[in-house]
Amino acid sequence: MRKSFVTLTAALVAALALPSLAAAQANAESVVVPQVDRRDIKLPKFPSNDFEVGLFGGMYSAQNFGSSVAGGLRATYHITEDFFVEGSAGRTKVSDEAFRRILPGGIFTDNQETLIYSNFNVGMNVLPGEVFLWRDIAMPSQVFIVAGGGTTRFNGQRMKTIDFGVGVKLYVFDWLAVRVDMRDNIYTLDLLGKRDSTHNIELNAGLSFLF
Amino acid sequence: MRLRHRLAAGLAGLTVLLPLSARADEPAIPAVPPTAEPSTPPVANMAPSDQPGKPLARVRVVGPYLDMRSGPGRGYPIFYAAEREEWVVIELRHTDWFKVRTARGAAGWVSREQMRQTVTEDGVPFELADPTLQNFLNRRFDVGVGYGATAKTSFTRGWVGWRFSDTLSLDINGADVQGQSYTTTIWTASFLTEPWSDKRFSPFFGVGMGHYHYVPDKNRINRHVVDGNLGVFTLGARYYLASRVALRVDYSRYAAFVSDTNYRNFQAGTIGLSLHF
Repeated sequence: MRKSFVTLTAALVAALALPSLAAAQANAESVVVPQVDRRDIKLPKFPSNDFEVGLFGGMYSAQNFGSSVAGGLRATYHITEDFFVEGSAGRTKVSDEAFRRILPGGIFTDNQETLIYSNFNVGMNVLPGEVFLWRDIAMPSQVFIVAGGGTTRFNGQRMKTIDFGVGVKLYVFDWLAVRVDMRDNIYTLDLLGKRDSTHNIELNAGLSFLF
Repeated sequence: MRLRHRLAAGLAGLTVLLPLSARADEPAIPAVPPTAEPSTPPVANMAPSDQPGKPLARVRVVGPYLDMRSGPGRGYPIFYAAEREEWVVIELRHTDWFKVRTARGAAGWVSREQMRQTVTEDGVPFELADPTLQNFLNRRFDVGVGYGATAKTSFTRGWVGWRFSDTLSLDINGADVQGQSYTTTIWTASFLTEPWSDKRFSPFFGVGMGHYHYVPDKNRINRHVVDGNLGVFTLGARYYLASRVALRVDYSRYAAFVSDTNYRNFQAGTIGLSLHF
């Protein structure tokens, strides 16, 4: 009885030890450890130019008050080849000179009032093309439309403004574009005794730097 | 520094704008059709002339050909096709378009889809990790503008956000309310929490404090300017659109403290776009 118990225990221990023995044997056999050099993959690096900042100058025609010289700044981000978003801010001086000819007091406290406008637009590129100059020079061009809204500060008031327009851009270099824009800035004004919706056309030309 | 140089160069270049056009110094399209070339590129000829010393971002064409267009868009004409096994240098990216230059000097724009038929110098397929959904999910900052409306009037609003943890962010807002006879400027700072910030559609909730500045128009009889503080809570959501752009829609309820014992509630909804970085 005692002998059979010892035999059974020995068999059980041997059975339990078998896997570890097998593992030890496998470790002993794997004498060749593969030496794989880790390969550093270098992804190509290059610049991009999805952002654009620029200056512009031109004419701003304030309804009932004539046209005046305007200038400002603009920043653009190109989302896709079709769409972009753009913020711009401009400034001009509006005169009531025409009213003063028949109304000695004029409309404004001073002869001129500063008009500051800022807006945010969504734009869409609609007509890509090329402009050819002489024989070997061709520059990509783009006609685009924009629409958006913003604020106009004029004569101590701030008016909600809706604007839309069209423009054309000529890429002189990859980092420089010349552009011409036309906008209609629509806002409500009550300077002349009645609350009227006014259309204020803006035409400007500018330089844009892409980076 | 580099931008300043470019600005200066740009202004100086205005006087000689046309003769110095970008296309002028690029070689014309080769008259002789390209022949089979060895896969090792003539490196010296491929360095971009304006970036000496910079490592070249070269890829090899493994597809049948690589269409090159005159501008970064599908509407521009194809004027050249780089052939299989030809090496090209990537000089620039504009949205989903890449300006490449061949060993023969032809430079043109290639779409992202076509660039997938190229491999890098290490032999791995070209894939660009650039503004994508992943960048939106890992964003740290966002800046945006929107259009809002209350029960009586509308306003324009801008915001800057700093996401300092996965689900928490600081949101600074400025709104310009243009009423018929007044203007109110509102500034608020809020903490936003976004429980599902790892999703393309990410709802958020926020509370904050702010300041308002009420200015009646010049033609009002009572021209009393009012300044005060306000509290705000916001409920909204972001939805990733494309590239770096996300749509943001939110509803805010404000409590403006008009005196020590009195306050007024008003509510507003806003829709806008934000860029993330």
